[in-house]
Amino acid sequence: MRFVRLLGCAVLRVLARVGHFALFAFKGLAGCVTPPVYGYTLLQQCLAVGFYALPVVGLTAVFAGFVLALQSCSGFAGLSSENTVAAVVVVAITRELGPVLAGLMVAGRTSAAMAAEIGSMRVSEQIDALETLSVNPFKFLVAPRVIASVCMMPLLVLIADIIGIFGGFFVGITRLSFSFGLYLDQLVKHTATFDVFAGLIKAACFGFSIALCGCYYGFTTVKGARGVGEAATYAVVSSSIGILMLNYLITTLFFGL
Amino acid sequence: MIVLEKITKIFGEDSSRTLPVLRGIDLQIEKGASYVVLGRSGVGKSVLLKVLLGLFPMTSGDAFVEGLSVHDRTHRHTYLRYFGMLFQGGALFDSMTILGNIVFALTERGVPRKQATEIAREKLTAVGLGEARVRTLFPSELSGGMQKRAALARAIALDPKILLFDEPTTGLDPITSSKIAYLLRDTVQTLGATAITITHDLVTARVLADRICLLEDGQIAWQGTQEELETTDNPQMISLLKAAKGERAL
Ligand SMILES: Nc1ncnc2c1ncn2[C@@H]1O[C@H](COP(=O)(O)OP(=O)(O)OP(=O)(O)O)[C@@H](O)[C@H]1O
Ligand SMILES: [Mg+2]
Repeated sequence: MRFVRLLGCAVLRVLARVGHFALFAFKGLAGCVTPPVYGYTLLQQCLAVGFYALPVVGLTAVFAGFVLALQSCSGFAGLSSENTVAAVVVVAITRELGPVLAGLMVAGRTSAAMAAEIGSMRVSEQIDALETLSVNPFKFLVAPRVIASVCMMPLLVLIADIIGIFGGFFVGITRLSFSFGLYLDQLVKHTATFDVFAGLIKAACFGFSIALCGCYYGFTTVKGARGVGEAATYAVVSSSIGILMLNYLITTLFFGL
Repeated sequence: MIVLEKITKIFGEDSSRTLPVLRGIDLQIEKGASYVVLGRSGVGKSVLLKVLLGLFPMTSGDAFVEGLSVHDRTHRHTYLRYFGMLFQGGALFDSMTILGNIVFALTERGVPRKQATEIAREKLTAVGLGEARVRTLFPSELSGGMQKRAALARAIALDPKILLFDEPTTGLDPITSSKIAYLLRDTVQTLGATAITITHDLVTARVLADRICLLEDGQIAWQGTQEELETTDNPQMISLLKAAKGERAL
């Protein structure tokens, strides 16, 4: 009996949390589509999410490209031609590695920053102060972050795709002594608009997950400095898991047979 | 006129560890009066102000300002427009400069930017932060006392009818603390506002109070004027007075 009760309690608590999160997401979205728009904050967030994440995302992508070219060459030992390697690199990067790696890097970087910033605003009563000034914190804090992430992530991923493919290309011609022209030709041939497009859709969804988790855990921060640290941790963990789950969902949607 | 009716607030109702903080607060504050709420740390003074502002829901009871209830969501902006709140830690937005903080408060309520900047400068001068150098600093670059002043300037930016001060002088040296207390008194008088000040500092209380209330155990345990304070026989009040004189409190 006691076990059932404990189990029931746990289930109810999880459901309450999910409901709370859904409500938060709804309010955040409502904040995105209703005026006023805080242009300056939006711009700041676009810089933080997009521009300042470029080095990290670029480095990740270029090394992913290097490794992918090497692995596909050694993995497909008999078939290590320009054709197969180019195909593997392009398809893997545009469909999966570009969006997912960029998503995870940005999740680690940005959602933690969002949770910490909003969390410390919560514990220092700045969010209460916003409310007493009749400012809707969902519009002022959540909406710019969500819009910035959803818009900047596809851009970042596009750049990551290009850099990643270039990485593969670089290893191909330097380490694997492929012919420059032929390899380039194959790369272009295997780049499908649909793959790139699907990757960018993924990126936008990942951006949503990143901003929402960051803001949610920031908003629900309690217990001072330790709470802020916890909020950042939870934000990174949950947005990363969110990204991987969304990735599966969207992949089934686009490529599932 | 502010009316608090049987306000109760219980934290953690949905969990097993419930924490009743306020248990039936009844209080009427006439227009233009200055109330000081005394009470130990953690007794629920800040919670009382936040509940009055509707920052989190009360468990039961109601609060009215000029007949408008906190629970009335459709007139939320009008309700909040009555108040200027000085938070315990200042709560200045640390992504904005001092001037930016006050301009933001004004523009959000529909004041045009140019006029807002003028008013903000004026208010900053009124609290003694008029220098151009100080205006462009960020909150983290100010001392505690300066932050309190800047936060006060933000609270009074829109000439509110009711001022709420949450521990305005805590953590400041006696001289600064006294300066701030007098600054608050002068501000309240110039605005002709109703004020509720929370403090555990009797000196501040004496400077500001028309009436003093003692919050204890989630209820108003005592209230009266400053003269009545001297002759009170309320044991909690007596021990507070003793403690303030440096004697061993009960
Ligand atoms: N958001 C919250 N969730 C749960 N409990 C809370 C919350 N806010 C305050 N409390 C509890 O309410 C009680 C009163 O807190 P409050 O901040 O009002 O104290 P206070 O009287 O202002 O004290 P101080 O003088 O130290 O500021 C405390 O025991 C605190 O633990
Ligand atoms: Mg307090």
